[in-house]
Amino acid sequence: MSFELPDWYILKDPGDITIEVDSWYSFAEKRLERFLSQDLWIINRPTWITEDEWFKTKVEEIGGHFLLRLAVSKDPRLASWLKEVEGDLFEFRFVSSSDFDEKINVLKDLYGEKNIKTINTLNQDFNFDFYERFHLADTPTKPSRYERSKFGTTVKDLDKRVAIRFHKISPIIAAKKALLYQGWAIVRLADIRLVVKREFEKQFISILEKSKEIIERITDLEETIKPIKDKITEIARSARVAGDFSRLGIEEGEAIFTKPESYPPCILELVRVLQSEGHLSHAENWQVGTFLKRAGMKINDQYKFWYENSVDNVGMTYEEFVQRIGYQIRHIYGIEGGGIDYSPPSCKTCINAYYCYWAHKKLEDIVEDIKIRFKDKSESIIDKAIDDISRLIINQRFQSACARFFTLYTGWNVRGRRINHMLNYSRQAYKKFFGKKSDDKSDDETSEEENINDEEIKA
Amino acid sequence: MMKKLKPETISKYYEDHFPLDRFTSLIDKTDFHNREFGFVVGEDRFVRNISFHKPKNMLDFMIKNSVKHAYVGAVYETPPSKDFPIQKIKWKYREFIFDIDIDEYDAYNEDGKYVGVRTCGCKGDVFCKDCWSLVQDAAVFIDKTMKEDFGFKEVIWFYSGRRGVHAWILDEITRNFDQPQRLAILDYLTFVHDKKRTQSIEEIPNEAKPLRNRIYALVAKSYLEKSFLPSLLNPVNPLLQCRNCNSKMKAYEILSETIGKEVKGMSFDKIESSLKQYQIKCPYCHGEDLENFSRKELEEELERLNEFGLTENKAKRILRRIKEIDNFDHNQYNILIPENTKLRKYFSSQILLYRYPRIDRKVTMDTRRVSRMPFSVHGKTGQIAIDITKNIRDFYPDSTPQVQDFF
Ligand SMILES: [Zn+2]
Ligand SMILES: [Zn+2]
Repeated sequence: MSFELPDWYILKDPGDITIEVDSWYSFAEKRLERFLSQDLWIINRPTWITEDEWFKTKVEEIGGHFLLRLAVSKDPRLASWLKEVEGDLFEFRFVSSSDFDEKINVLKDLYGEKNIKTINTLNQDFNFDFYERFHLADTPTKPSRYERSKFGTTVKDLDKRVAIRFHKISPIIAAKKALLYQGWAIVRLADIRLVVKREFEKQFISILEKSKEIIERITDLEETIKPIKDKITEIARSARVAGDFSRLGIEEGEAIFTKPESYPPCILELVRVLQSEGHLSHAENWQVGTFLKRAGMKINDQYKFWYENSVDNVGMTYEEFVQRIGYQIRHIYGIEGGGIDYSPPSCKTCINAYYCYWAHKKLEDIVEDIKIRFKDKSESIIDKAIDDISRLIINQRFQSACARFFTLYTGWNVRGRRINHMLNYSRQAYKKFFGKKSDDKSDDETSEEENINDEEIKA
Repeated sequence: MMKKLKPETISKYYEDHFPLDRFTSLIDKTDFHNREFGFVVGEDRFVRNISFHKPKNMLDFMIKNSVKHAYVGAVYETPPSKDFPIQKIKWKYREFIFDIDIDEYDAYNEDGKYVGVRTCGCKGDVFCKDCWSLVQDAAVFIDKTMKEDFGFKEVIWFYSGRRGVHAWILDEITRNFDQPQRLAILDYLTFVHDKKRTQSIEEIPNEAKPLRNRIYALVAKSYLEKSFLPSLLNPVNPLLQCRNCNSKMKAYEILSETIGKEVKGMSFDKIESSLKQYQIKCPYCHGEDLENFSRKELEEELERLNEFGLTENKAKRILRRIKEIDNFDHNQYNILIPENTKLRKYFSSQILLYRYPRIDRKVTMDTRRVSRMPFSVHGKTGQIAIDITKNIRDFYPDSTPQVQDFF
């Protein structure tokens, strides 16, 4: 049996594609450009270009990927940057392809053909109807907010299910998000989409190993790919590609950034790590930078913030710092790079790709933090909150844990009992402690506070 | 309890009775020489990084050294030895193993107070038929889950020789599982977390339907039969507690000892009057302030259940129904304890807390660990780690042969 993989699928051996060494650099550069501008992430052939042109694009793409991988294969730092952006691109294309069969084919190739089955095939193999026996049609469909991808596109077929051998999707099994029957895990696309990137990255690493072997075998290559490598270095240090296109404006005159007490736990923690260790990962820099921008911090204050807190500035004057390291900050403000006015990622994205205090910090340490931060509150209130929060974290309901924490902190309830965005958190916390006290709230209080998540983040 | 094991007895067992072929049929013989073994030899010396050319050499070693404990480890690319310990050689595979120990059900709070779920008063290595049923239930539940959910065919159970049981999953695919894959299966099976501090309990999942149904069939039934208002209809094993030193003890044991004849099946009133009549003292602090702990517990529980709309009579009806139903499954549970009720929600966490299997995570996760060798002698109890696959539901350790029984 064979199946056709979509054009964008790039774990396969590129086959007979020849690219003249002279044009390597331009191929790689084009590819990098596309990484940086997500609007050029194409899935299918657009109707306005010819077959020939489309073929040329594909060669460029496949060739470009190949060359970039060659270039980074000996540099672990660059390799991990490329892994991240390629992983994002892969996930984007997977969730954005409109055809269910196409998704199934990608899964077959990603996990191995014998490890994937449609529910229809499974019904035939086991001679009963899975939907009927396990009342699958009765399980509530995923809320529509799941359909929004972090790329601003809509994801289709999220409630459709597919069967995968259990040992291929450990994170889903561990979270009990699969119906297991005789070794087959029946999962929704909504859940599978969260792990395809990780699986892609796993395989990407072994491709990199092979690329490294090529470089080590053919020693001249190192010289040839050096310009590409330099270009990647320049870009990797200044841009974090997968931005979140959500927007949430801050009203004029608000200065949330001046009150760290109103920062959400994720940002507080990242700032603490930055101050004690002098640096954060690339994604974390981006998370803090975009937050501070939206919390009202102007670009010059951000230069100062990073100059004072990071170790990148050792032996560097402030001016040099702004010149050299400031690229990323200007990128955040849309002054360089794609010219996009970025917002910090949503909580869902933080959980999966950035930093979420609740998802990524050890439970024991969280408990300690809470005890210290609220040492003035009564013990029974703290114990109750710790109990609630622990249970939510164990059940992987990180956004609800954050909401519970918010309630402990402010005394205000959160509608839907989950925080969706760090800016919602900090705006409300700011309002509670530093907002104008003109209208003393009484009965009105709940309606006001429960609006915290109403400011849905729109693209 | 038992006399100290003589080294000669151990050697004799291995020489004449150890089923070497059955043991080697469990493991892949082609890699035998690359497998790690560990032993306790002499008084208490633990040695690892040992490998043997052939099974016969292993057995000779065990006979010659009268090994007190014998353990099997993983298979490596080259034979483990003193000069090439397992940290220095490449790991190849290891069987997928579960370990259920009775003391996993214990827990202590910061003041050292027992907050575990054994209601019989046993703790640590000590167990009785009451609490051992936790191990039996766990084995049945895991066995079914391995076969039905994961599709494994060969699940072999062994007594560990002391306070628990081991499952060896022999399906070939499992040998090569890496740590995340083993952890995933473990997490799928885990509901009680962080037992040291809060005994946080995960919610029963919606998506994993077979697992969910199995909980409502097997675990719920055990809970209703064995842990839910255990003394309401028939106080099988009432407990006393000393108001002075907080120690707990089994009422019938104390009473039998004082009165000098076996007592059983007393009502709570009778127990309380006997305590007064015989002026029974606490065996730990010799205070004279023993109270009927089971009655106190029962009253508290009834009060709580009342809040959820369950009266004493209704509770009794549920307990009777359980006895009548032959093939209790999740559908019957849904009828007895309807969905979307406060009681159901309360029960869901009680069921998991009191009766859900608890697995020793280290044994399953650690791919380089050594585990007790099937059919070997446990040096402390003298019991043999026998194959109990055929009767995991009923196996109780006192039926286990001791090494002395062979002679
Ligand atoms: Zn017991
Ligand atoms: Zn006492």
